Amino acid sequence: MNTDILLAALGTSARLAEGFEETQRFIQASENRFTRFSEESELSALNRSAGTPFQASPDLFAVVALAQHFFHQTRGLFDPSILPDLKRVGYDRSMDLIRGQGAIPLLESLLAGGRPSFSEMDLDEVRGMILLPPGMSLDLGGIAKGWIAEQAAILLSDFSSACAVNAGGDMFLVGLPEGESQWPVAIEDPLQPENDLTTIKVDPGAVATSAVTKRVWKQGGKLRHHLIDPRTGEPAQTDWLSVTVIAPHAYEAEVFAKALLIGGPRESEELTRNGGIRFSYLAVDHDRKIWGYQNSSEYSYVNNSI
Amino acid sequence: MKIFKSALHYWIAIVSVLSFLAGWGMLAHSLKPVQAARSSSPNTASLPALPPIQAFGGLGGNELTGNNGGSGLNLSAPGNSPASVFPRLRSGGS
Repeated sequence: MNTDILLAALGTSARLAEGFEETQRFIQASENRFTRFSEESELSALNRSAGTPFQASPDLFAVVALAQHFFHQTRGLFDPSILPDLKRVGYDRSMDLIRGQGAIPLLESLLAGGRPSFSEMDLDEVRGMILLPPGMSLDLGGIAKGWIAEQAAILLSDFSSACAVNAGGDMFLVGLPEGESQWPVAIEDPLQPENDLTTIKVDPGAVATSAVTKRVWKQGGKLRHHLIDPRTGEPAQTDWLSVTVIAPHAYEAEVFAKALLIGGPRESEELTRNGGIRFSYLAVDHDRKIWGYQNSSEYSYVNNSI
Repeated sequence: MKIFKSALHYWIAIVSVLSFLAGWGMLAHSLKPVQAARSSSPNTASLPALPPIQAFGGLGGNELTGNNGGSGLNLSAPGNSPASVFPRLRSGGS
């Protein structure tokens, strides 16, 4: 999934070595299952099955069911069926390959057709079957990354008293560092990723950030990024550069970070009111100004160094 | 008495007209109020519902050290005794 994953845990060396090994195995197996960049992955098999029922593994079924749930909860701002649009604008290979070889030409992308709505997908919970309508293919990148981070942290917590799994900025935190009452998490400056914009302190749970400045490439001279607005099928024109969400679960933090970034201030009120979960967010605009929504005292700033 | 009343009426009328003209003149020559600059930037124009959050003081001695850079799967190296410092956690999207 082109993501660096950090595991950190507190415990004794023998137990931690065992825990790291088991967690690493789980992460690798999940990567093989959820990546869209390998024809061998279960997700690729699901995408090839469009039009016929697909017998999914429990893990794939769980993540697709979560995706369907959040598609409705965000009123379509989170939509994993934008994969054809993502490929059309050039993100058809891993980011490393695109940066090395360039994206598909713009003219070719203009000839691509439409796609069915994600609401047309059918799930059979009893038999664990997924039916994608013809022409539909899914990209579970973000939500799967959050889900993997959370499952990996829960697994690692069996071997430690406190641990953190950070999958490319989507993290799940279990327990607390020794002597700390909360976890400090630095928020990256979207315009200068080498710098931190601020640091927040959060309770055990999840933090995820979505940004339009990270996976960026050029297609026929046009600057593109990976965050597709499902309403237009084009890279989202956003008022904010990044959104960080603090939530109980990593997959929902990831989903709402993406939906808030795409929806922007206009949709944020509706999303926070009807999101159905307790979450807080920080949004960074083009002037590096931080906007936020607090519905609780879950976090506070501890540093601000621009 | 009648003459005095008439004179008073004339005097009030003249003073009122002169005061009105003087006020008009003052306002006409006073500085104009500066028009509020209208921002055309879409970044902040539609954000009134979201007040900026106040930043607090420095992190002081509580700052953790370490990094989560590098590529692939990075594991923190477990020591012989329970670790006391976690790597610095950063969130910035991917």
